[in-house]
Amino acid sequence: MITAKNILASISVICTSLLLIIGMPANAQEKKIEQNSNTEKIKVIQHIAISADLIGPIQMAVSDYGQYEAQARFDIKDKFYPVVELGVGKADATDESTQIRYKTAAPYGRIGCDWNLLKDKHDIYRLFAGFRYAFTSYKFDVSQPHLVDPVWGDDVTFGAEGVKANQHWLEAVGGVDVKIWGPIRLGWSIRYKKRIAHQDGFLGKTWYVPGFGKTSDSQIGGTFNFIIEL
Amino acid sequence: MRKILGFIIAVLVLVGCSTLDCPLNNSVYTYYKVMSDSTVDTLSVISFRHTDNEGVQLNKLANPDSLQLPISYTGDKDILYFVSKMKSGTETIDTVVITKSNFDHFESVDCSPSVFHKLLDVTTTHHAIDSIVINHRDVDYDYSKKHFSIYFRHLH
Repeated sequence: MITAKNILASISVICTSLLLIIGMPANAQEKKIEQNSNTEKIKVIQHIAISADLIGPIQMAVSDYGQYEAQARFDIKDKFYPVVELGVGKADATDESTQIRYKTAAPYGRIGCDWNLLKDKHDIYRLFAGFRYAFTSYKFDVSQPHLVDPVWGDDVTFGAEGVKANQHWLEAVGGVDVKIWGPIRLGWSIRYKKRIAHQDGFLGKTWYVPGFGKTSDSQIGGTFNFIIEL
Repeated sequence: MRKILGFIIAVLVLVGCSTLDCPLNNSVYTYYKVMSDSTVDTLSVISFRHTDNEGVQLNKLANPDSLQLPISYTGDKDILYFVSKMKSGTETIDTVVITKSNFDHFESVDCSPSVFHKLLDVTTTHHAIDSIVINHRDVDYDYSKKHFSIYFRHLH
């Protein structure tokens, strides 16, 4: 028997169902609108960051060689960071026992890309890994003012000026940076450098390669960067 | 902050650490191989210093099979006197003139400077020495090369 109560219950069920049905697309639409607005908020190039390495000048102050280095980094959706690094490497070293002086100053450049490894790409912390290709062309001077032939006794002028050399190398980079305040970030990186091609000039070998460090097949180095995001 | 400071110090230490990469053998000599069975009992090689003309004995060998001699850093020619004392007691002196070019060689600021050479020509008198031949012209750290072959005459 159809009672008023039953009719009322049925109407309630139908109305509730209708409301639910109407509500779902609304929620989905809101979610879509939210997603759309989030997508709209993330630009392709989020920031361009300019940074300077602080370890190079300290190295220059406490040892015979070092470098001044700056970096321009493009933030692609907080995921990829194409990088250009330019610097000037200098060395002026005289060994106490051999009295040989080695002097050079030349620019170097690196180009590469870093990847943000963190799950939350938009966090204030970034953990990144990447690579660099680097190149430098430089001239160096070597001199030893007082070399004596031990057998024949001749006083010999040893060395040369303006010896041309160059080097290509690759770097594997890992590091972290964090937002400190406003546009200012601090970060550090550790780098494994691997020489891939080199010409050392006519004098034999080189001692210091700008941007790479002391001559060898491979090197480990690092940077500590003061970063400003524009 | 402490962790960052610790990391900076660690990187500076890593970067600051260095090793000496000087070659184990960093002497530059000319090497002679005696090619013939000779009657030479002892062989002495002398030269004269360019600064004070004082005689310097470079080497003295009994029953020589091979010998190594220094080579001057500068100068186009080295003049060496090979004093051969035969088994019979006869003593002869041959004058050997080596014509060469010289090249400064740099390894590292930590390593002693060296001079490499290219042997251009060798001439000799023929009292005890029959001939000297250049086998390898490059004189550098490689001590396995025999730069000269020396042939003695059979004298009594």
